[in-house]
Amino acid sequence: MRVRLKFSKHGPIRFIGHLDTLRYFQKAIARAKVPVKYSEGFHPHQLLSFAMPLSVGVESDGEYLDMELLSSVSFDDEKRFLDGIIKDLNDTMDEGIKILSAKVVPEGKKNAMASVSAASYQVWYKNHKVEDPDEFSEKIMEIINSNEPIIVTKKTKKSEKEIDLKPHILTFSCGVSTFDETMELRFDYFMMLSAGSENNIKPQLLMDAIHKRLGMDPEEYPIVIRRNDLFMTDDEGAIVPLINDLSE
Amino acid sequence: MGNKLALSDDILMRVEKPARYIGNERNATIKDLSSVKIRFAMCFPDVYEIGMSNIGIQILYEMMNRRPDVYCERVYSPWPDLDKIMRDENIPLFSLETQSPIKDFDFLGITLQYEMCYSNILQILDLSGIALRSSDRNEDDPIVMAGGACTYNPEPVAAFFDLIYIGEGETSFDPLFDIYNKMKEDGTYSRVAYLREASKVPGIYVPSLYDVTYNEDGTVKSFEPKYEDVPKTIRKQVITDLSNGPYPTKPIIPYIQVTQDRAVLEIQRGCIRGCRFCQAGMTYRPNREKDIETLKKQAIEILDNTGFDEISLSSLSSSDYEKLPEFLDFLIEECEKRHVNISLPSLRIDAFSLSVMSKVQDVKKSSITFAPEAGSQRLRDVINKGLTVEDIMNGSRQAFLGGWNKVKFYFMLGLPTETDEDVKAIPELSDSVAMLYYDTIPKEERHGRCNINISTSFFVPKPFTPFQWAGMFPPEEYLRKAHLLKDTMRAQLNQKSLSYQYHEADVTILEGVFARGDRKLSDAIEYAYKHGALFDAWSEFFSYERWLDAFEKCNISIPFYAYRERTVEEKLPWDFIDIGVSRRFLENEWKKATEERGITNNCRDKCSGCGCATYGGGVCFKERGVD
Ligand code: SF4
Ligand code: SF4
Repeated sequence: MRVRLKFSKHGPIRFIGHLDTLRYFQKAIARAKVPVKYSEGFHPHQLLSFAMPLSVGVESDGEYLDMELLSSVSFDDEKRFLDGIIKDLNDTMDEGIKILSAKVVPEGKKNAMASVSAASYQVWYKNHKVEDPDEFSEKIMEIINSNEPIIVTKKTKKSEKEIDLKPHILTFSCGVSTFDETMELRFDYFMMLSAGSENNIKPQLLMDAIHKRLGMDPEEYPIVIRRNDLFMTDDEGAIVPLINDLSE
Repeated sequence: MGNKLALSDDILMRVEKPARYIGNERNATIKDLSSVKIRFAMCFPDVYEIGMSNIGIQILYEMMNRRPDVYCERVYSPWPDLDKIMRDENIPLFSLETQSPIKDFDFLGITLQYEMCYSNILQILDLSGIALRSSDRNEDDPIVMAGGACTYNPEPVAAFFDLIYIGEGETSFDPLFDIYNKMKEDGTYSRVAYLREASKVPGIYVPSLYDVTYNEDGTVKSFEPKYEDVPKTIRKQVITDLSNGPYPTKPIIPYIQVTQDRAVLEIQRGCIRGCRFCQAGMTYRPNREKDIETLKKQAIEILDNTGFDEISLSSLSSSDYEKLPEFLDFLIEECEKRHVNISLPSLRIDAFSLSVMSKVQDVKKSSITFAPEAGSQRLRDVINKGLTVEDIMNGSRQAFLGGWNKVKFYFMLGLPTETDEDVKAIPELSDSVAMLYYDTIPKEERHGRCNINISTSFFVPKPFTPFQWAGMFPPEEYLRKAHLLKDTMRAQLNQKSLSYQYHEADVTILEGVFARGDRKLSDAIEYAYKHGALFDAWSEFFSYERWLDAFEKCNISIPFYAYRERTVEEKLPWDFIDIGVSRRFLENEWKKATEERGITNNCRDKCSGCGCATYGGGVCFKERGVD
């Protein structure tokens, strides 16, 4: 049986990289005594897989992890069973990581990593330098809404290629909120971008392209990125959260 | 704790592995600063991943934090990338737990585990904004202290420390803290007054309270306390009842992968053997075992509290732990249930250890290890290594039959009395083990060739060993020996099954200078640091030339400190320390070795009266069979 967990990652722990987060979970799962399945052999490891790596320094409200449980595990009441796992894990979690929900993944469904097709982000400027938010927002949306492609060079480990970001911007909007600490005005972007193994578009790439278009020096406008959630495409082609409607 | 970090997000994103600096790990101690009287910064002067792997620090961290009035935090050496940023931007060195400046602490304790970390001591002080030399410090600077293996000859770094703790940390911190509290409370505290009081605590050495004079030839002439109430000798501290000592069963779990990325269980301290080159074998005397029930309990607690997927046993010579079979049976069963790996420290290869190893590791991938240290029986007797050719052959045969085909050998080059014949005996012995493989295992059952890996280090004479008087060789001579070994190996019948690695000679020479150095070395260490020495334990940062330059500028002669053989009449810089093992015992052992008068019994077979029985515990009080 496979169980999918959704968790958030905040605070100093955001500086822990992907592999270390995996190692962190392995220990937490062992401490919580979750009936997880292990691989065979001399160095058994838990059968876990993350949906998508999160860059070092980025906070998130929507990270996912699939874990394979022992085949002997059974339950009468799924909700109680999953709530128990969530509680046991959260009891042994450190500040910054919290399990938000859990769901049994039906047989035959793809694992979290193979499922991801989009990710949503919130982005803002660290040093709130936007003077006239309305005007600024208009300029940005013009770029997004025009028919002109946004061509960028995407570097992977192996190659460099030119791509148009436009088809990968699934949603995009701007807004104004306030900083938690200072209550000063903050300019926010909300976006959903293609994600997953095929087309993974990082918000930094889009923001760099926008800044370039507007002649803004990226050094002067450092951004903060928060991942909000991860999504998959369901059988009807609709984009739904990774832990939504797994059952049907 | 909140999210307030000492380093900004920008800096954390710029440095390699920011998690080295954020603290906040599981099981780290969090205390309210307003509720404590003493703040102690515990430092391992190397990068986080190395420092976090040290079990000694974790023991002391646990012990100190059990005191409600003390808050012990950790600090490690910032890696060169952050080191530069901190200097450029004037960021003071900070503790991991509260992320606050080290300069605000009452104590800064630095553990010295290897000589090559000496430049990092100065980095820690410098980045903290604390004067490098004890004599230049102010009233409100922390008391800077040292402890650890290197403090058995603290003289080369004595100038940098206000006090030095000789021996095991479990015993004397309480009095040190109590005196501190009392003096602070009744208003009598000053650095000078405190250090004077501290010097009367057992095991505490306050370098500034002693005068050293030298003979014309550079050797020590006298070493005397400046005042009558300051002790002439410092007695090593030992915890006699290890089972009831503090032990962290809730160790801090690093977020990032550290060198020792597993649960560690100390099963005993000290060694019953007395290999004559081995400092740990002498300084940790007497051998003390932890009670097996304590071990079982601690193993379970650690695994429950950490979720580590691996556990390793820590001790000098694990095979000598008396109830090892019983304990390993227990551990294997417990770990199998939990899918936890057991990493075994090198065990003496025999039927028992092979059967254990085949249960916990993949025989095809793993190797068996021997550390005969010397190639010939003659030289093994000189160094008092009780391992015989028969042991090696029998062990290897059983291992080959059990499916192993990889053997690792550890040897030393440059041991006292060593001849070229002894060097050649190394590849010859290795060849006969290879031969044994082909004789033992029929062709159709072999998985390819056997693989005999020889590795040598160069011998460094260490204080408080019977070889503390021995000479060392210049790098060229070490390299000649290494080449001789290699050439002889190439001439062996089974040379294709043999391979050989050796350590750098340069670092060895430096270790040799520091290991038996005196106070005059502190100038050279400071000079080298100020000219860029840092992370010398890392080959990518180590520069031999820089140290040669520092020695030249500060009039330090390598032949005098490293190559020279001492006479037993000479006053040694560390003679003021009493490790329990008497000088007479060491002298006898030295003579016995060089005169080739045979080996000395291990402590369990027979007590050789080294002097450590005065500690009143451990193997010295064991009932021995009459024979
Ligand atoms: S067996 Fe020999 S080398 Fe090993 S710790 Fe004991 S004394 Fe040292
Ligand atoms: S006094 Fe005897 S038994 Fe004790 S450590 Fe010394 S030699 Fe060994």
